Amino acid sequence: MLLTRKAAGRTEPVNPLARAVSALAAKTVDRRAFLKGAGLTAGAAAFASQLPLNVVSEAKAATKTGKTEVKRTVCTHCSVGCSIDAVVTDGVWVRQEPVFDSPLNLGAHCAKGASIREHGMTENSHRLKYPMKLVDGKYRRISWEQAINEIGDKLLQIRKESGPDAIFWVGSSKHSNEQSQMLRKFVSMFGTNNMDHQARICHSTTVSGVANTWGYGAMTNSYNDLQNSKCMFFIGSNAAEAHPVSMLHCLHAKETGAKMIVADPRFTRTAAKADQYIRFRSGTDVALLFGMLHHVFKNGWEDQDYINQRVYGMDKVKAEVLAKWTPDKVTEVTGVPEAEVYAAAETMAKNRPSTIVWCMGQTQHSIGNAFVRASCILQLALGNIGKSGGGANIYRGHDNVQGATDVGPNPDSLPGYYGLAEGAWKHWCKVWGVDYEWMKSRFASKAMMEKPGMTVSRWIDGVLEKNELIDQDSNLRAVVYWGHAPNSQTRGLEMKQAMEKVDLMVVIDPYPTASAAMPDRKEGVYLLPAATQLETSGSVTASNRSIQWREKVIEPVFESKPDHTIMYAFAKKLGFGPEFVKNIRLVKDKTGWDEPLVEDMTREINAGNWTIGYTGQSPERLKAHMRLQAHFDPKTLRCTESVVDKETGYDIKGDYYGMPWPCYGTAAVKHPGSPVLYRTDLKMMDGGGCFRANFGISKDGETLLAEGDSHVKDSDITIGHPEFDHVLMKKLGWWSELTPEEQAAAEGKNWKTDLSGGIQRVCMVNHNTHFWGNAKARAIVWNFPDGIPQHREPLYSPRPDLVAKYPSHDDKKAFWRLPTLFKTVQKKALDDKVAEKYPIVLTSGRLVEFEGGGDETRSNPWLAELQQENFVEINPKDAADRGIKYWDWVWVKTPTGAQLKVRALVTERVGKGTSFVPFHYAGWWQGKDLLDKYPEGAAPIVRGDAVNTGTTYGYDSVTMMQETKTTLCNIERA
Amino acid sequence: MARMKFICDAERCIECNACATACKNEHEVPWGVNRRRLVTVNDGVPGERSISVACMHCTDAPCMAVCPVDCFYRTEDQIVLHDKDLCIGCGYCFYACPFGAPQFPQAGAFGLRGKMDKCTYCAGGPEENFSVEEFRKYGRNRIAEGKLPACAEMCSTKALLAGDSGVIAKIYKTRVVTRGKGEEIWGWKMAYGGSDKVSDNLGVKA
Amino acid sequence: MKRLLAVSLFALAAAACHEIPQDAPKPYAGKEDTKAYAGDLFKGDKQKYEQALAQRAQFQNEYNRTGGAKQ
Repeated sequence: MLLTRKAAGRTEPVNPLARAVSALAAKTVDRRAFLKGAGLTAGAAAFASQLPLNVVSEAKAATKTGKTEVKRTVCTHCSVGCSIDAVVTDGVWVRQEPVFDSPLNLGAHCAKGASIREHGMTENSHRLKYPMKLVDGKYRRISWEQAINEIGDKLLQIRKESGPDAIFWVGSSKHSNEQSQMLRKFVSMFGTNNMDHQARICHSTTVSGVANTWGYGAMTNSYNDLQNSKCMFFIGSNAAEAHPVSMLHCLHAKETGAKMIVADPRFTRTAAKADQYIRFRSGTDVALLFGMLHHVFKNGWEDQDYINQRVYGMDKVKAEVLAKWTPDKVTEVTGVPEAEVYAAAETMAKNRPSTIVWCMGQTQHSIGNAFVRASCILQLALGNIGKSGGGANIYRGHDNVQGATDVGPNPDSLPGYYGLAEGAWKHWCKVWGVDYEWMKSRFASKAMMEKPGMTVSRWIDGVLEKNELIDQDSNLRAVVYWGHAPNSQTRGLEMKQAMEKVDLMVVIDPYPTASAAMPDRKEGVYLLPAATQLETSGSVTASNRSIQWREKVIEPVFESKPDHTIMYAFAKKLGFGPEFVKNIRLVKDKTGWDEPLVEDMTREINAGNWTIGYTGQSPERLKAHMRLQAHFDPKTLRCTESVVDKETGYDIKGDYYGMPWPCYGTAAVKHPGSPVLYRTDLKMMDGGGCFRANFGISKDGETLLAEGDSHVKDSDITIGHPEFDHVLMKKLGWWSELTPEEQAAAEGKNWKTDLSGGIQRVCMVNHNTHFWGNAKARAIVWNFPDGIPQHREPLYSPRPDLVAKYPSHDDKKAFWRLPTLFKTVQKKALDDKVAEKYPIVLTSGRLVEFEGGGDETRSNPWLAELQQENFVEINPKDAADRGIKYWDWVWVKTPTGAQLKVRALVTERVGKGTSFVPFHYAGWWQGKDLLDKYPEGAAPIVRGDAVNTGTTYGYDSVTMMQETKTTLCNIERA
Repeated sequence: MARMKFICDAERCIECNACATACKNEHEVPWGVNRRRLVTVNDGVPGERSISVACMHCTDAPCMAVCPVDCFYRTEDQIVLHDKDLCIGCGYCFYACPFGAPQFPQAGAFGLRGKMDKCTYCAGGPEENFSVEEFRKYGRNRIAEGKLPACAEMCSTKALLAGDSGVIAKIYKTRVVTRGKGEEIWGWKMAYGGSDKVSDNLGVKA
Repeated sequence: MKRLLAVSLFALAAAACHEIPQDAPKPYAGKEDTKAYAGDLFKGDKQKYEQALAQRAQFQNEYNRTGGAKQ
């Protein structure tokens, strides 16, 4: 008798408890069939015969002999930021323990965090161990000195011949805050803005859309704050697999009475926990959200007082939503019946405070900037922003993508979102201790210095596009992949071409990544081993903006080096060594190399980032928080009692855990951090705030400043007001409250450029006033392609009939230095009848076992064993139509001409006409295993075809985000 | 007297596999041996639930009952352990166990299986506590350190509970009472077919 | 009363069929295992050891830190 239900559409019975000892075990119900034959073959029989158990070192257990220390660090995978206690004996990482004290994760981990010790294991390691050079098609080991010299010479040569803009630097969301800001500085000093990192392809649309709505583009509340919600709406977020530990807070909330709604084209593992699940067509978020908003307005559920006081333009939005997004239109576009849309709207409205959670499902579209804004507008209408339990809970990806976005290698801004105008450069030159004129001289011209660079999603076009069409002198001749995988970006076929065309490719990473194996080249590629964040110290910013400090667990393994050490070595070689570390002391590391002191780099972050309040989180406060985690309340994130840190004498009373930015003012001012943004019911020094006055004082005769009674609690200014500068301070008579030193620094400056922090201090401490102004959020962002979010069909739309009604944008001639097509591509897809030949929507996303491009996690045997082959989720009806059975080999064919060989996972998880492939695989190329193209001993254990080898052209109209969530494919038996 | 058990709260389990990798990590379990694994029912459709499964340390352990060389024993805390030196790899315990707990590292000729390996409740085995021999053969001994199994301590949503049965039953009860309903996974209809919802079958308002 | 009789009759009958009681000791032919509380940490104090484990189990109950549980 079977103890499980037969899922409809399955062709054979499944018994999860049946297994055979021999190689070909039976299939289990779930896809994690690690008892299958593949287990014993793919993993190498060598593993199985390693019993007795493999011991990492002969060191006895911690309680017996050997010097044992416990180092506290933070998981390096996702943005939840789970703390880990690493037990180290004689310099070997022997064990890890959960940190129950942490208010963020309370000791919990997902598969990745629970297995992270593997990164420090040197036996059978798949790490990139030594610098390597591609010689006659094979990777040969070279010395660091040779590597730095040869690469440096080549970069200098290219710079001389073609200008500094001829090199593209792909930075990392896995660098610490310190390394991130240093990388921004490094590439600036090299002389170009051609740099980027994972945020581009992750939440770039979020940052832009949300910041333009109300001030900052970050998560407004926190994972913990879900516990205070009455209703949680997940749209385009599969938190159960992408942010598993966040589900601790979510499910706790659900237990205590909160409702949960999940909207996703797939019935994800998150949807399995929902009270209501909405299956809607990928790429139709505006229609769905505005369909819900339609019911909100129709039933008068909106918070009219809140809108009157704190929102601009909602009346126009209301008029448009009521007229345009009637239930029939919504159903036509999304495929969702009216009753379901109504139910979701009602639940959100009647169970406030309610929160929206989104992730890549919303962002990775050609109109991602519109999707995120539609979510913001819904929350503004319901009055949920600035409330605990409400908010726009943006779940960021990599462990430090938030930090890297805030202070790191962005093509369009210096650290802190200061932008690239002359004033911004002058501010940062001052902070970095270098002469502005010198910095300017490093660039090809002032114009290039102030022009945003290309993006990681398009660097390939910087190489391949015709020179006369790109908005810089030279094409790209070199690319440096510094902590970034290539298989997370679309258009893999063209990426391979670009990688083959460049003069030089450098990969700096703890693992070779797919970049090492993808191109067919004989030479011109270098691989440099970087240390992971577990082999160095530094700060990391979680998605909720809390900053945590990582202690160094072990010395860098093999010949790897921390990224900032590598940066300094290159800075010296490239001619700006002293400038690079002007305010930063150097220490000798264990290999005799100069390492920039981490805490000095932290202080340089504190010295410059006044815009986003990265100024108050000094190393001392951060470290004290890590030691005293147990005293922070998991629901409010606050420590209310007096607790003194023994090492520093610092009292954490009043602080919020990790001092979530903004933590305004200097550390001495002791701002506690801001766990919930825009809260007017709290005083400034309790983390309160309001919407930013960043868009002007008025628009079309309407005021943009806050109205009615809306102001930060107890503020001396109770009406809406613009942002503060020295002029306003003087007008108000507050200037005299600054100390003489502060006045000297603040003269002629505003709240962002006053390096003393005096303006911030006086405003918030003495007057409870927000120096960034008190304004309205914008429901209409007039500087965006669509002021009010519009639905536009994806470029590769499965609905040609709707393309005519909802066409994409006009093409752009020079957008982030490159011509960018919208309508042309969409029209060609129609003309070529792509939707008929490729009738299945292809979407991609995450698995819990792997992370990002995946080479790192697929090199960890404990994770790799769980997901050994790439697969495509295909609906049983689509499978039956094509004669495909569960776990057959199939070809996923896309309009690019690429074909990917994967297993067929026949499941009702995806609806008819939709398919899903995880994006973490790489190491195959259209069915062919690239194992021998990796350096010896450094290939991931599990390899597979990368979905992005076949994904198509499509970019967001504001940020150049790639349209990975909606393209088309067909699937055939192999 | 303590009686050590596991409970997996299926309403919370999200199939994240932290329990599986925590165990691998703590005991350096080799590829192919899976002391703990996730089992999912109704994969991909409403009603999907997952459970983390390992040795249940049964009060009346079938493995112990059928072992021809009597290599199993029970500790004072009712944890079921075995002596690998005695084990002949016959596989009887594997056939007897309804949870698939016994794992064998080899699939050799003539049914050569190697020494049986299974979840030890992080209590090591019949070697000196904390010795290298104990770690090599059985993995770490957390219980003797006053700690609980790594899988439960690292569970992402605290679905998997481990500890004295009375203690964890109380924790679990708190959740059930707060939640206002029990598991939506057990019952006659789930096992033998019928509506997904317990509420439908009981005629209870959802 | 009738029910009690029925139950005791059944138990008697079961015993007669050589039903093995569930928690009877089973033979063990292997090495002796050191007790968990024998080492330096608990110094043979079983109660202290059980208390430590019971306390440790509370880390799996986040309600201890968040409150909000219904009783």
